[in-house]
Amino acid sequence: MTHFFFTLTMFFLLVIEGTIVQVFAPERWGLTILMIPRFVVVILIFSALFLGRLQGLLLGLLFGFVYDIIYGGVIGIYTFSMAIVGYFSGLSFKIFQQNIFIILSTILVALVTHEFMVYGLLSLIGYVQMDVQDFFLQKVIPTLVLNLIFALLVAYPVQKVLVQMKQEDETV
Amino acid sequence: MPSFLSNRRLIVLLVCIISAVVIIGLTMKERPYPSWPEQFIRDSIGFVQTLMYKPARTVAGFFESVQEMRVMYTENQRLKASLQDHALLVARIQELEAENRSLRSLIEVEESLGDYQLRAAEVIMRSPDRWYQQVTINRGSKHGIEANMAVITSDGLVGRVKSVAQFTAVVELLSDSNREINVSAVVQGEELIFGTIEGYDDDYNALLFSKIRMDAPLEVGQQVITNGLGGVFPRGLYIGEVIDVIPDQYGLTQMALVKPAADFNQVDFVYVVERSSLSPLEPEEDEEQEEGGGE
Repeated sequence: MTHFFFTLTMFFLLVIEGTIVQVFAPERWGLTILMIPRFVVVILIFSALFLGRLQGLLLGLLFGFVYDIIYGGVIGIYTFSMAIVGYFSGLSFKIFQQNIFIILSTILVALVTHEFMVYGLLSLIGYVQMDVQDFFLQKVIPTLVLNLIFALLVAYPVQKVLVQMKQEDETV
Repeated sequence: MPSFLSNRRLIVLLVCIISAVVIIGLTMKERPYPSWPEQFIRDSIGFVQTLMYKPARTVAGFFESVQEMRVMYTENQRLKASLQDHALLVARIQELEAENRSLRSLIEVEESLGDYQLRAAEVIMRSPDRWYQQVTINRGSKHGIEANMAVITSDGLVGRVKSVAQFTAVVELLSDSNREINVSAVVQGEELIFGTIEGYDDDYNALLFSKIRMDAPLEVGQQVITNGLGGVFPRGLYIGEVIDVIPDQYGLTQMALVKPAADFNQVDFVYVVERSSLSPLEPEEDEEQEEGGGE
């Protein structure tokens, strides 16, 4: 049951990324920086860290696919990128102890990987032409700031829920 | 070789990468009418998005109007001044329209390239990554929206319908860097200057209006509208104003930077333009020539 509500919450975050966050996007107030909300990716990394890499892979595939359909046009870009990010952030969960700094740095590395992978794949098929430097300064850094703040805010409740889910898995 | 094949994980990874490449390859071309599972997912999520976007916009609208209050006085004065010009202009337009109609009836032409109908729609979401510059509107094929229709706001042209589901449609904005369809446009002035809008320049925040004759008398401040010869967009949709003129890469033609009249960052209410003058008997070659011409 907790699994179901967890996935449902992620769906809501996915919808919020395109609607509520866009209404308050910095460009609407005339700024040139781009803050891309990656809330789903942040939660995905959390769940991969606590529940293992297989969970990360499957959730990444599911949400990447939906993301591609509703926000993109080319199917496969986000599916691929989010699955990879979910899987590899799940790998680190056996190596390190879980404290908040390890989690935040994993999120940092995974988000940068995710942004660069999407950028790389889209440039590869000729969808975007943008300087790497512009991309890094205008997109990656503001995105990291926004999402790390989000990660800090939700870290405590999400950890609690995930630990509970893990216990449920073990008892079944 | 057996040691390679026994590495199951590597095989799985390779299969995944290959299938990802195949799916990307299959779906990267233009798909105006996506498959039904995609349409279903888009429509059902579109419903949830509608519920969330409206209240959010109301709250944001409140803050925006507080911000606007400061500039209201100067704006009011400016608007009062331009209102007088406006009244004169309306009178003149009415006169010209009447004249146009009578001339038209003389030569027995009923339709013009500029005839169109508008359908109002509301934006329900915007792609959060700005790689895809696209918004989704709450009207779809059930409401008569078709692919490639022009989309305007009250300020001017913003884009075209890229793909249509039953109850929602995706609109590609003019600021998208991957536009397969270029807009054929015309500059108004003493002499009509033809060209195509192909692409968007992020540094200047302006549209690139290219393929203009070298000796064309372009001036800063001239107004650019759609051409109507493309077969998809009707004539006379306002695009923007010329802000700079530069020679193109090879020095054979000119290029103008056009500042779009519509603000692509604040697209909330749009109109979908259905062209009514396109008769089904019209040869299809024309369309391909104009609209498919750009790469």
